[in-house]
Amino acid sequence: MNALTYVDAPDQNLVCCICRMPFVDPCTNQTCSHTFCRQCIIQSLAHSPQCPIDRSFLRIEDIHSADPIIRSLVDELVVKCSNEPAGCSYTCQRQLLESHIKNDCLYVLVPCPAGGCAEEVLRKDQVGHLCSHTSVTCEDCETSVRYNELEMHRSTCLKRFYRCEDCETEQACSSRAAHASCCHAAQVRCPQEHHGCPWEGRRKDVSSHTTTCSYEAIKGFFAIQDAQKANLVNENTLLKQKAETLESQLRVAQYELRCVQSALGPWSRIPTSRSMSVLPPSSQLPTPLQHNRTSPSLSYMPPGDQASITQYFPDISFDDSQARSISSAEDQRVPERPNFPHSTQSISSRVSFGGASIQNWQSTGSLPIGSGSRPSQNVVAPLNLNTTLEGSLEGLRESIVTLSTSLDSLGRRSDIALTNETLRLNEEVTSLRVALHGLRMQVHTIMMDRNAQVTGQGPGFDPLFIQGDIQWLPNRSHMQNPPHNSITKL
Amino acid sequence: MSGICRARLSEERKQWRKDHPFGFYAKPAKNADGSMNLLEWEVGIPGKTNTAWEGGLFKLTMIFPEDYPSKPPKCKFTPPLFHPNVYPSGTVCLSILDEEKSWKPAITIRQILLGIQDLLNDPNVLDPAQSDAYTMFKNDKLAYEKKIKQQARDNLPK
Repeated sequence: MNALTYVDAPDQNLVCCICRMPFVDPCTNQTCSHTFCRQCIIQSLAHSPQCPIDRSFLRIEDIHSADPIIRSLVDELVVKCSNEPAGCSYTCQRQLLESHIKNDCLYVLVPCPAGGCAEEVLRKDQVGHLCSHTSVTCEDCETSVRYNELEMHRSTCLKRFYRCEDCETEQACSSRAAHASCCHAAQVRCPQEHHGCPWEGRRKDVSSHTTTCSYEAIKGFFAIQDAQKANLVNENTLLKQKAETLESQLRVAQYELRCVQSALGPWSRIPTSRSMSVLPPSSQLPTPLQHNRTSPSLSYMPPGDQASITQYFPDISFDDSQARSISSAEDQRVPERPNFPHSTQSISSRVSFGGASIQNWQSTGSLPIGSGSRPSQNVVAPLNLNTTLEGSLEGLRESIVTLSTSLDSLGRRSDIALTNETLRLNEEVTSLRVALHGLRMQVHTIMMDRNAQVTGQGPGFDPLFIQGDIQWLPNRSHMQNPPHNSITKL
Repeated sequence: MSGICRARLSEERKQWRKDHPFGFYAKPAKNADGSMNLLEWEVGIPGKTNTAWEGGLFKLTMIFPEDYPSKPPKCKFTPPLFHPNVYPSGTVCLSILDEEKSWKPAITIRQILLGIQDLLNDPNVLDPAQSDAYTMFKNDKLAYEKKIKQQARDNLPK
């Protein structure tokens, strides 16, 4: 009631001083005869027991309903319907508004007339309201369907017809798709359209067109071509897939190769183009994959890289002729093998100073490093490509140990041989010295005899002293006269 | 209670828009979201002609409690005014705005604003609210007049 809109400005005598609107259920107090709305004065007195106009003492017991004439005056004020914002323009006396809203106002929400629907609709829309619960009748087959299913029903209704635009005949809606595929007046294109025929016309003219259509005439050719094209496309797809697979494999292999190179360090640069020439045929390699690993590393080898390799391996000679002779002589060797014959050769040349006796030992097989008449081939264990780098290194280390032990034993044997030879020579020198001594004694005797004959001196003369003079003679002859002229005559 | 408060305030607003004294303005403040806040009004009170207050338009905020109209609104000058009956915070000290003194629900906003306008040039020396204005008003009327005129010039309407 508080929010009512009055058509005319209300008389100020009928306005409550608390809410500033015409009295609603007016009350008058008996002490000062002021009139207020019942709700307003009750709240005001609850706050303070004073008259809101003259502040005189006032109690709730002093409040009584106002005179009927005042009640009638405010009840008969003309008000607008409280649903005016929704669109109701109805106006009536204030006392009648309640029944208007309850029974007549078209702008109040009422429940949906169809049972079971929770929606609320304005009373004015109640009659024409169509919700999912409303039943409607199909115009064509006169069956009752739900409102929200009507659209679906109309597209399949058996009694409903439409007019075909092409043949201009009535057709059932339910058979629309079937008719469209067989309507003889429908616009169609040549069956060979996908081969390039530009013809377009009604379906009934298709048969007459196909007799003249040049594309139709070579239909068989097209069929073969199509089949071949399809085959080629398939093959192309397969090849593309294959190429992609191979590319990915190559990438993996390159990546692995880089990993291997970085792991190998300087070892990765050993194979050269010449060592490639002594590579065994690929059938001797364990797998083709390993072949793939080796050959790119060879191609990565720059030509001017030999110097850097010789830094790492000072013993390795890259002399062409030597390498060629090795490769021709020892075809069965593994690629790294050419490095080692050279070292074994140098070892054997170093050993050869020992003389023929050592060569004899070699030939008799007494050397631990050799296992036969060709020690240079088997001194070092052959490097196996199948093993890892550590394995190779281990093998090489063992070879070096073997070499050093053989060198050691060689040295010892040569020492023994030398000692033996020296002893023998010493004996010979001693025997020679004894023989010489005998000869000297004989010469001494002869000389003593001759001196005794020439000078007639006694036998006290020391022949050895004379011998020493003879040795000094060439130096002294230039400086002074020889003290013993007789000796020079000897 | 709140029903009466808001209904009364919207009725007051309706009446004010229909008719209000010359030079005044009064409108509910806006909330942050742009809606109207009926419990807080922004008000302008002009100084009376032929007084030292002439020419100034003094801004005031009225804050209504939920118990309105049983309780009076709080009226506060923004910024605070140089006047013997205005507290340093800007709150107006007036008998009709005091629930314990003369407030009654029958008093309208229009009556409150006219009452405050009367108070401007007619301070109540029996109920001082700030010492500066009160002592100057009591001891040096000339300086007080001058100060009030300056204040009116500082609050010219835009």
